[in-house]
Amino acid sequence: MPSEIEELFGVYALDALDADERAAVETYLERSDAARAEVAGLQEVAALLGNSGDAAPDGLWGRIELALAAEPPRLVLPLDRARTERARRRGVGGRAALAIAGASVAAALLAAVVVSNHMADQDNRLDRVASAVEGDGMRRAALGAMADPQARTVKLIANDGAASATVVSVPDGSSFIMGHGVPKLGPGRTYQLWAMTGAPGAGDLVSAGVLGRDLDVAAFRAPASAHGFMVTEEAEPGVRSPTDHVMLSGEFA
Amino acid sequence: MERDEYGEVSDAGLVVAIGRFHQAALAEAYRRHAGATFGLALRILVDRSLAEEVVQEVFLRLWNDPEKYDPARGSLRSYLLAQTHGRSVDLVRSESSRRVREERDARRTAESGYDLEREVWDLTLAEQVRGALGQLSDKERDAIELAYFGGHTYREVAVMLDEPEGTVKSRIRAGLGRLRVELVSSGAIGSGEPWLES
Repeated sequence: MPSEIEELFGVYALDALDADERAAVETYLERSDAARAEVAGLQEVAALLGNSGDAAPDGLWGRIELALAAEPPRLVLPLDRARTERARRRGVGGRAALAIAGASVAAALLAAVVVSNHMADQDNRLDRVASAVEGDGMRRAALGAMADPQARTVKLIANDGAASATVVSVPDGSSFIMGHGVPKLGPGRTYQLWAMTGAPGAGDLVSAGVLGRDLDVAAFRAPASAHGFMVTEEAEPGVRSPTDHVMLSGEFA
Repeated sequence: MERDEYGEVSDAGLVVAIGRFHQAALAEAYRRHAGATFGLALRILVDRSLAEEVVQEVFLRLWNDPEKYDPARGSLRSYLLAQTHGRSVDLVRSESSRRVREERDARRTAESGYDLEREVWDLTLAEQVRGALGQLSDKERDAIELAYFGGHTYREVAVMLDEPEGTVKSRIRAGLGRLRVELVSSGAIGSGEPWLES
């Protein structure tokens, strides 16, 4: 016999319950895989009910594009303030004779701040997206990428064959690595991922990310020129070139 | 709209690309899901201009906060439709939109109301969904329709149908569950975990 909370799954899927009951259902869902699976299934049905099969009105995408152009990505305020403060301090010693040059410098600084802020915002945004797909979500996202018909996959295998990892890379460079039987490292050690670039056999390696002590699943961005990948075990995170032994390696067929 | 670049990319890949400010990825997400989101918003709000505003808001929200989409909780379409539903219902329920609801209710009454609403629904749903809905009892359909498309809570639906609240929530859960079984058997949706099928 279903519990009282389970009886709410249907109305939860339809967004037809009060806020307190919604919170209670969400707490329950956090603890139960089976409950999450049932609710996801019911929400999928609700999605189909809402699908009329009609196209969106002409011109609506154009309005969205205009809105995107009118709403640049949000700036990162702490960075804004720090950089603006540095710019202000540099400007304090200015004199009238330097006013024109100062204005040019200020304009250049402003442009640099805008570009830097945009980059910082993008980094923050990528971090947020990455954290949103951590854990199971990350693995599912990786599996989703594997289902992409344009994705390339390569198996990285240990010399002794005891461990392996699968790398999947989609055309825009979004990539995932999933470890299989890769042993967890002790304290002070980390795995690091390398992309093989340049001509095959040339030995050009570019760091693609630090993977931590436990290689389960991780997202990274693969260079367009990558023709293979390698995982090394390192004592220091983020070394500029491999310094220790190669754990796994493999190249695209 | 640009579409070739992301035409074959999975929904999860699109969200990652949106996180990198690739507008073409948002355009592809729009191409795949805007029709469904607009259909749902129009169904709930009736007013086309309001429905367009909701769709615009939902896609701008995806652009600004792509990390709020959690692949573990369902497909991208389910997520966008849930956002659309929530925003539409907010509009229906809000004080400022009371007039919209009153006008809509008046229009229902004037145009023989509920049956016409169902007729419109039937006309716009895919054939397989219609077939599955036909397997439900009238009471199950009424409860689901009033809750989802009417934007009512199940408690409000219970009052409207003059049924106990427990009966209404059980009917909705059972009805959706049976719809899922029907839609799986007809091939409209897969039998696996829904979040892997986006």
